[in-house]
Amino acid sequence: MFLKILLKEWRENILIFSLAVILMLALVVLNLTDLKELTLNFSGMFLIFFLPFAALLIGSSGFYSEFKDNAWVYLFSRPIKKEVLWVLKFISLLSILLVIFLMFFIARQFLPGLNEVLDNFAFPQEFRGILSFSMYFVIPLVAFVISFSISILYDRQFVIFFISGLIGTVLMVIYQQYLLFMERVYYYPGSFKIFSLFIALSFILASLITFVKYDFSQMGKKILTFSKFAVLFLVVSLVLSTIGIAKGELFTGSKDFYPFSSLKYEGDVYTYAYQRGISRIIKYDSESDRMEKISEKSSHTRSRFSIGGENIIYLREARLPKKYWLNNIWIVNIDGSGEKPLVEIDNPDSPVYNHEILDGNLLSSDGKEVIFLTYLFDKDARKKIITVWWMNVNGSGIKKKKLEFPGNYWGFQLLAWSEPENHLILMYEVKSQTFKPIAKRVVLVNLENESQRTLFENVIEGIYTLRTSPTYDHLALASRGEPDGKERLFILNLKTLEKKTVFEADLLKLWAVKWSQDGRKILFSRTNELWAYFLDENRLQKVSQRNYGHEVGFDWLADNKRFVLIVPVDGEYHLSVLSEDSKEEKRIKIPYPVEGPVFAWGLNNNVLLKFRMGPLFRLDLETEKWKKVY
Amino acid sequence: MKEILAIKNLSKSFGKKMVLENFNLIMEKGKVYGLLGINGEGKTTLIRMIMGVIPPDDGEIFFKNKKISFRDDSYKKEIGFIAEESIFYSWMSIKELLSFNASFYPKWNTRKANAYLEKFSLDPKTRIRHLSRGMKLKLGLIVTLASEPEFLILDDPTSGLDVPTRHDFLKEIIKELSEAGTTILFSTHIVHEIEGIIDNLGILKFGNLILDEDFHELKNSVKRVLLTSDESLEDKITIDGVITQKINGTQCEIVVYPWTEEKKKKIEALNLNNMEVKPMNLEEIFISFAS
Repeated sequence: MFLKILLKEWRENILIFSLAVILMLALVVLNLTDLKELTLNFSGMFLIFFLPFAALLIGSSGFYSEFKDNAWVYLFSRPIKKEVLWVLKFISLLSILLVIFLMFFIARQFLPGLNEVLDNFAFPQEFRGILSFSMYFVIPLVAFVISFSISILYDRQFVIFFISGLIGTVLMVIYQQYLLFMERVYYYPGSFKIFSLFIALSFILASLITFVKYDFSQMGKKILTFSKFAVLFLVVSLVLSTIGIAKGELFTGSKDFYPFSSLKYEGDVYTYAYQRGISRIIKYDSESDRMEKISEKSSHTRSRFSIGGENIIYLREARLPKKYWLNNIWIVNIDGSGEKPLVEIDNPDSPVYNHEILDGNLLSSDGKEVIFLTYLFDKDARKKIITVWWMNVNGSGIKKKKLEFPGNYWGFQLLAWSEPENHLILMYEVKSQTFKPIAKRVVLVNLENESQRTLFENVIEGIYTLRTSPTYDHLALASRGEPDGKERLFILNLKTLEKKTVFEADLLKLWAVKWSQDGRKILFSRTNELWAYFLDENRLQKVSQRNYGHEVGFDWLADNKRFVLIVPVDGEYHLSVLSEDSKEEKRIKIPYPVEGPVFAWGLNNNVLLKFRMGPLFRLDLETEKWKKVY
Repeated sequence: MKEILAIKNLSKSFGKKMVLENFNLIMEKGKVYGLLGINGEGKTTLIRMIMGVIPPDDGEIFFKNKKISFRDDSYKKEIGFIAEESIFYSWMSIKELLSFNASFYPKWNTRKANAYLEKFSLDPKTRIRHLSRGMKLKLGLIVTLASEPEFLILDDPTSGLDVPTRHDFLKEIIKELSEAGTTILFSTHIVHEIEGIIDNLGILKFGNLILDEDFHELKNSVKRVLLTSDESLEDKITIDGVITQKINGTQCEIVVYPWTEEKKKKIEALNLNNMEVKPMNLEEIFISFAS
């Protein structure tokens, strides 16, 4: 019986399926040409327009043939349960949509060009935070479910088609507001999928109940019944998913912090953490030997913060309608007191009202001044405007300069600010008009005369490799040189702008760079290798010990003379304490399972070790005692 | 008596219009039941509720002594149903429809289906949209009979057909089935064509059965009585069971059910010039009861 129903539904929808096949063939043919831009646009149209269109059309055909031919009397009088009938039709029609998806996935696997252009396909800004590639398929699936569910109500297929599209659009708007609310309270990256699932279930249940229990011949009653159930289930879904997310996060949500955003400062370690739905800055306090909360909340999506003097600046969500992903700058003391907003884009009286604050805001080394970048799109001139602002942390003395950058630039990040020289070092990504990444570029901006100078092209950015020294006078970074294509690790003097080449190779395979607290030495890891570089002597030295495969488990100790390193020995892992000339002074066995990267921070005779997705331990190097601190 | 179908207090309304109200019916196995009613009286609604196409508002339906609900489906394997208009998926061919339909019935008899196709001279490759009304009826018969139902429901299937086709259908098919012991519920408003084939008669009016009798007994006991007298007969007819009465001065025509000896004597006791008692055919009976 299922096979017959399946064949029937396929037969009735053969036209739309044939259209999908033709479009796929066109996509394949395009991909074999050099018309990359056309392929990208065509692929985009296919994803954004055709898939949802096809989904709506297939779904709305659900019971159309029964209405059109008045065959529902025939079908309902057959010996088949109505719910079975509904489900079989649903599965049959869904299979058509899934086969279209499958064709696309297969094409993507075998056409590397298609893969490449899709990876670089940019979606409208407003949805970038929500929609990943998989969403291009979730949305049509939800559209299909909605249109199939309401196809039991009316005999005009195109009416069902348009109403389904309208319902889907309204629900997306509702979802945006829901997201705004949820992300104010809890950050939950899976909320869109949860929301989509609940919408789908609500419509399915409403449709099934109406179909199974109510009179198919009475359209008005049917519509009313369906509407009542659908609204009820949608409201229940919204409430349940909110409670579920909140409860889940409160009691069982993950607690983790992110080493890449950590900073060692005055003997403590500050880091961005996710604690059961709330993102915030926390620190390991050496004196109290425990983790302490520094900020109440922090941005869900921007984890960088800056420390200077007695202050920390970080980002936190602004309250702009329809732009929930934008942030304000907040300031807090390093002991967690005095938390308050510093720069508010949602304050109409603020000079940066409605701007977007870009990544990598910086505090001066004395913590008295802050510098940041903003972005605004000038609709009249159709131009991006980047502005650099600097001001005192008490809000006075605001200065600004507009900056111009050539080409299609994205992803700004402030790297360093040299106040005496009044120049700024920032990085941005240059993309093609079709948003394909071209290069990451580090430029020097003179804040006096706004001149710019490219310091590095083709920067190789890794999350642990672009590091300013704790003394704020040097920057370590890697880039690929032209025309030789060699990759080099540099140290840039932020005052004199002198570049020192530390290491070069065809492929650096650089993992992490760690500065000593006095800013005169670095340790850096390559795959299976650890090196030290001494700035004063301009001396490079390979560490004799073999590095642990996940190359972030090393760091200088606070005395700037020794460093620690995780080493594998006979299948077990140890923490090795070495002098700067690589002589091992001590080796302590790690009594915990090591699976994946272990991040190390060297403090004053103590070492913090963060296990991947696991706890943070403090090891006393003298007593060799371990303590779990987080 | 072996009941095959029992309906108790069935009610259904569409909006404010009450179509069936506390409807009751019992059908015996092996009988042909004729259900008459003028258009819009609820015959199709009743049948659709029996077939689980639409749900009743109230009441119960029992098939072979088992209560059936709107969601039940298994009993439909034993019921064949030909709707008022044999409506199927117009894009299918006859062969495709029969194949599609066969998947619902474990007892589907392909040989029988093919035999009927040949008997009715239907080309299996013909698309349903190209079939005439008569051909669709024949196809509907094949769809129904090939599943070898124990109980057959026909909802005004011959309406709109020409006389020879109706004749073929009724005389050849229905008679054949009833002789084979299939229980048949035949709903129609074309009264005369079922006269020779039904065992029981029901007349539907105002949402309920106003008559539910063995047809042969009914025919013997419903009479048209023509009276003439020298004086006016107004208010003189006082017997029970007068279905209709037409008085025209000294002439009177009454339809009486049931006609008994006692009633005859009572009428004769009136000062009459003449009294004629005439039998009625089904059409006349229906008109009298339905008017």
